[in-house]
Parts: sequence; C-alpha cells; structure tokens
Amino acid sequence: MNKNINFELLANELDDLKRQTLSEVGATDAAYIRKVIVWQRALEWGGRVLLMLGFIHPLCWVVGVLSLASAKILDNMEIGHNVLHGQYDWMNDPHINSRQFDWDIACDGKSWQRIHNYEHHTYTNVIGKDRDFGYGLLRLSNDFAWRVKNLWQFITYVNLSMLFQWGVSYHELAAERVFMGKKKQDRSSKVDASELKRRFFSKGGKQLIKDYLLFPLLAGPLFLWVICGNLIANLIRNLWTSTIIFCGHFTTDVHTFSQAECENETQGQWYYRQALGSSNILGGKLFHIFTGHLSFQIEHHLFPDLPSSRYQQVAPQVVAIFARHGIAYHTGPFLRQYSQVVKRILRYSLP
Amino acid sequence: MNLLTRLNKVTAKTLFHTESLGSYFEPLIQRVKPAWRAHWFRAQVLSVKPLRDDVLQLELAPQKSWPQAKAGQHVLLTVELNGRLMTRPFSISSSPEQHHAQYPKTRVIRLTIKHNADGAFTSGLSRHITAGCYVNLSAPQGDFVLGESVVDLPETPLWFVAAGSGITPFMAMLHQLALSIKRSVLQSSSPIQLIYFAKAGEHLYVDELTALAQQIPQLSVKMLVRKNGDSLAAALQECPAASQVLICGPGKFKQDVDCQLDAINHPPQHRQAEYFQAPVLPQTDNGHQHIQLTQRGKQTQLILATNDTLLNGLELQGISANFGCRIGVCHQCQCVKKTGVVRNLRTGELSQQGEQLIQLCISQAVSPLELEL
Ligand code: FES
Repeated sequence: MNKNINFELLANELDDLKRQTLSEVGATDAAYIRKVIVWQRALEWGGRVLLMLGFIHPLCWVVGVLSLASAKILDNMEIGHNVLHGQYDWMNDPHINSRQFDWDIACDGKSWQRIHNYEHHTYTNVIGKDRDFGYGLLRLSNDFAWRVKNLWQFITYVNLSMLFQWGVSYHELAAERVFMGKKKQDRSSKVDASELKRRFFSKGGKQLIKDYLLFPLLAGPLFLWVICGNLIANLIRNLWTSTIIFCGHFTTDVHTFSQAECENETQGQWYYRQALGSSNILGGKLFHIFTGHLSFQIEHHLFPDLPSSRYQQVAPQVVAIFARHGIAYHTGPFLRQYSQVVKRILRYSLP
Repeated sequence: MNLLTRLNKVTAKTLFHTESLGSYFEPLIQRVKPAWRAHWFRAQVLSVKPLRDDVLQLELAPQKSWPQAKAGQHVLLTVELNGRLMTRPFSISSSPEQHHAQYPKTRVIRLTIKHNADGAFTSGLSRHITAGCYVNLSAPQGDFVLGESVVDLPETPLWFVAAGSGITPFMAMLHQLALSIKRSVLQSSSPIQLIYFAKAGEHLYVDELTALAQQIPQLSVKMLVRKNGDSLAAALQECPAASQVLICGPGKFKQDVDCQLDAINHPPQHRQAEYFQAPVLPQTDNGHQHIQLTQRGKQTQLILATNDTLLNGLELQGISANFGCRIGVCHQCQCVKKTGVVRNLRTGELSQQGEQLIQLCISQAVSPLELEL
C-alpha cells in the first residue's frame, strides 16, 4: 500500500461525497428504477411473443431473441445486481428491495448476496478471501502458482463466460467443495452444505424449466423456435455480463492485495483498495444502463449501496478526489479494457 | 387460501420469483391503469385541507373493491413521499355511508391527520400529496367499533371520551348514529355523552359537532380544557355503571380515564379503548434502550447499550443475527425495524419512526425499538 496518501482525508472526502449524494436521493431515483423495470417487462414479453411469430418472418424471431436478451441483461445488471445490493431499499417498496428480490438467473439471490455483496465487496481483490478473483478457475496474477491447466485457461474462460450464470450459481457451492466434501479449513459458512445444494438445484431447476420446457411448450408447434431463442438469449446475456464484469476487475492495472496488507484496515485504506481493485469503461448512457452501471465499477466499489442512477453523477467528483490524492483512476473505452482482460488471461496462462 | 390464489403464488414464485403475478406485472399494468397496485387498495385523493397548523384532513375516494369500514375502524395509509413509501395508521373520521355534497356518486372517506413528533410523514403529505393523486390503503382494520350493543341494547347509555385527535373515530360513530336516526333504525333515547378534552382553541370539528348534536337529540357534547380547570374526575363523575364507555386518546389519557372509572366502580368489561401512540416501551436512563425483538414469531424484550451498534448489542445478549462485513457494505445484517428511531453511524442520519429496513451493524438505537430479525 502506498504510504504517502493521507487516508484519513481521503476517507472524509469520499464519506462526504456519499452523504451529500444520499441526501439528494429521492423521487427521481425511484422513478428511474421503476422505468427500467417497465422496460425490462416490455422487452421480455415483447421478445417472448416475437419468438413465437418466427413463422411469419424469421426476422421476428431474431428481434425476439435480441429483445429477450436485452430484458435478461437489464434484469441481471441494472435491476437485479443493484437491487440485491440494497441500493433501493430506502424506497420501502415490497417489490424492489434486497430482502425479497430474486433475479432471472440460475444463481439464488441470497447465495449471491453472501458471496458477492459480502465477500467480494468487503475483501475486494484480497487473495485468498475474495473468491471472485479468477473464480477459482483462472490464474490472473502472480499470487497463484502456475499449474498445467492454466495453459488452456483461455478456453476455460470462454466456457465460463458462456455458462456464466451457472458459474455464478456454482460459486458458493464450489468454494465450499460441497459435492466433493473437501471443505477448506479456513472457510466457515453460515449455510450448511445440504441447504446450499438444495438452493442450487431448486433455483437452477426453476430457470431450466421456465426457459427450456414451459415457454417452449406454450408455443406448441413452435417448440424448437422458442427453445433455441431462449438458449441464445441466455447465451448473449451470459457473455455480456461476464465480459462487463471481467472488464471491471481484470484490466492491466488492477491491483491485488495480500491478507496481511489488509489487517486492521482503516476506512481510507479500504476506499483505496476499492479504487485500485476496479476499473471503469467509457461509454454512452444506454451502455451504462445495460452494464447495470458497472461501467462505473470504481464508484460502485466505493459506494456499493448508492443507487446506480447516481454513479454517473458522482464520477467526476471521484476523479477529482483521486487526482488530489494521486490515486490512479483506471478507465478506458470498451475495446481497450477488454483487450487488456484478454491479455491478462493469456499472460498468466504461462508461468 | 383458495386454489386460484395458490396457483397465482406458485406460478409467480417459480417463474418470476415474485410474490404474485400481480406484483410481477404491476409496472406494465400501471402504464395502462396508473392507479393500479398489487396488494393494496387504491384511493384517489379528493382534497387535502389543513384544519389547523398541525392537523390535515384528507378526503379520499377508495376503489370499489375496498371493503366498507365500520365506524371507528382505521386504515393503514401508504403514500409515496419523495420516492419512499411510508405507512401510518389513521382512524377514519367519516361514517361508512357518508356521502359528500361535492361528490354525490363517490364513496368518500375522510382521514384526520395530526402532526406528531415524527413530522416527516405529515409535512411530506402536505408537500407532495395533492387532489387527483393516488394513495394506497389497507383494508379497514381494528375492532374499536360501535358494538352491537347500540343495536341490541338500546337502553345502554353511551359515553365517548376523547382527547386531542382521539376525536376522529368518534366523528365516524356519531355520523353513523345520526344516519341511523334519520333512517329511524335507531330508536333508543338513552343518552349519548361526548366528553372531549383538548388544549384551548384546539378542539377539532366544533361546527360539525354542534350540527350533530342537533341531529342526535339525545347527544350532549362537552368540550373541555384541562388547563382551564376542567377535570377528568368531574367530567366522568356522572357516568352510570351500566353505560358503555369508549375511550380514545394518548396512552396516558386512557390510563387516567381507567383510573377515574375504576374509582366510581364502572365495570372494565363495559369499556373499549384505542390509544394512538403504540404502547411505547419506557426509555431508560444511563445510555440504555429497550428493544422488542421478533424472531420467527417469537418475541423477546431486551435492554441494549445505546453507544454500541445494534449488531454488537444483540450478540452480547446471545442473539445471533445474520451478518457479513460489519462495516455497512454488504447488507447481510439487514432487518426490519417496525417502530422507533435509529441512527445510521455512517451518515449520522436519524431514521424515521415507522417501518423501514435497517443495517444492524451500522445502526444505534436512539429510541425504544421494535425489530424483526
Ligand atoms: S454486516 Fe455487512 S452491512 Fe451489516
């Protein structure tokens, strides 16, 4: 850790920014998330209907797939991810809060809250504590010893991206080695193994039944059109979310931290670690919405429960604060960020 | 639960992970019917009128399916104030069958809303709620209603004892009685006494009460002011043991009335009471606070140190709440605060009085709390 930074001042400035922004949060933010939900529903049902109209013109089917995929992306990113972070809990709305909400992906929302909200956001990029770093599959820094399987880790990465929702869902289970019974010594879990298994199968099962049985059956003779459409929509969503998330965490300059470094961390040091553990992606308004504002990964990591609708607004002030303290603010256009991710995966596939 | 509701629930849970199909489709339905909301009755606001500096009167037209309230019942009113849904209980101060001259075709209910210490709700109401907008209502609830006794035992004298805004349910009951007399449903001539305490000049609905006294011949109204020397003892002295007494006001007032009635041997089973301040747990000195905790339906009473976070406090008492980061990041420690005020340690902000989600690890108790884990 850089010792020349005035961590106390940094913490005060960022705390103030958060407090100031939170005090402005209100009707516009509520209207915003409601509007996104309306769009999500409209795209989902427009898409499902169009999928069944493929026999009129194949273009209907294509538009249907894209529409359904966009709905799934919105549900996963701008709605699900942010609502599950508790960003909209202040609304007191029974349908939009982190306690009850669950999303349209294979991972049980509660499991994700444990692994992502808690582990990843508390121990961001702390090797051995943040299981999101490489998802237990990829070697993305020198902190891990090289193994032969890393040689073909680019293929592993492509597979992980395609099956991303299942990767996320399996995340909590795998780390607990539930199926193999090889529980790691230092991992304690609040949820016992059988409960984890039950959740995994029940949520995943529901998702499979919905997309690959029920909706296709409803389409009757168009069974295959719908099944393929749903499969492709899920695939598009998986690739998109995985890509955005990798761009937020595994670009060239992203730092990792050792457990010893983070002992007795102050609030300022925690902020500092969040700043160096993430990177942003430049883009337009719509792009930000479809990334669930994870294109503002830095702001999200600094203030994980600030409503996503505010990240664009706080970003310039975060840039200014970082500049004053001499902290790097990593951002860049999508292609540049993504090529850095690919380079990183390839680089660490070799010893 | 009937089959249809079950089916709705199961489908919604399996396919959309929501509580009901209604809540899933709500955003879409609202595009067409803006007034629609799942799991709530909706009511259109007809008027918002300040009765006094600190008292607001709302006239609402509930949707048709809203179950008719009995005189004396209350509703939970939920409104969106600056993006946040807030809920408070209010007595209905109009009779169930009352129609208003201005809106002869619509069923209208009237709520009388008083500012209290937690002014966020009331001041928000006057700023954000205007005629024409929609609010959410619960079904009418409560059994502080005119008992069958009025109908079954026409010989029982009725005594209404109100303090402050405790007059609201009685306004509903009196209007109801006036209507029954007009329709000659109620023939009893046994006396009806209204004892109404308030601060000088702060009695509500004075004109309306005078009008009611004309419509109900056996009604006599006493508007009293304690500061002017009117005492509860004197007012209740004449209360016959056979009379049905209904009491509404602050908890302390109810206790005082009970004391007086006990003194004149009025039987407690002939009393009904409603006090609008939820029974508040006592505040302890030396930096401690009472907490009422509900865990899987089980209730526990605790006393926690106020300079500690709720999470630490609960753990010290051997209660394990769910937690993760303990620094306010992950929301694993989220729980429902039913009533009471907490301070958010990260922002220094005080919460509202009513129901709200809070994070245990960064909250301190400021007042007695009711929590649900
Ligand atoms: S334990 Fe993480 S927010 Fe309270």
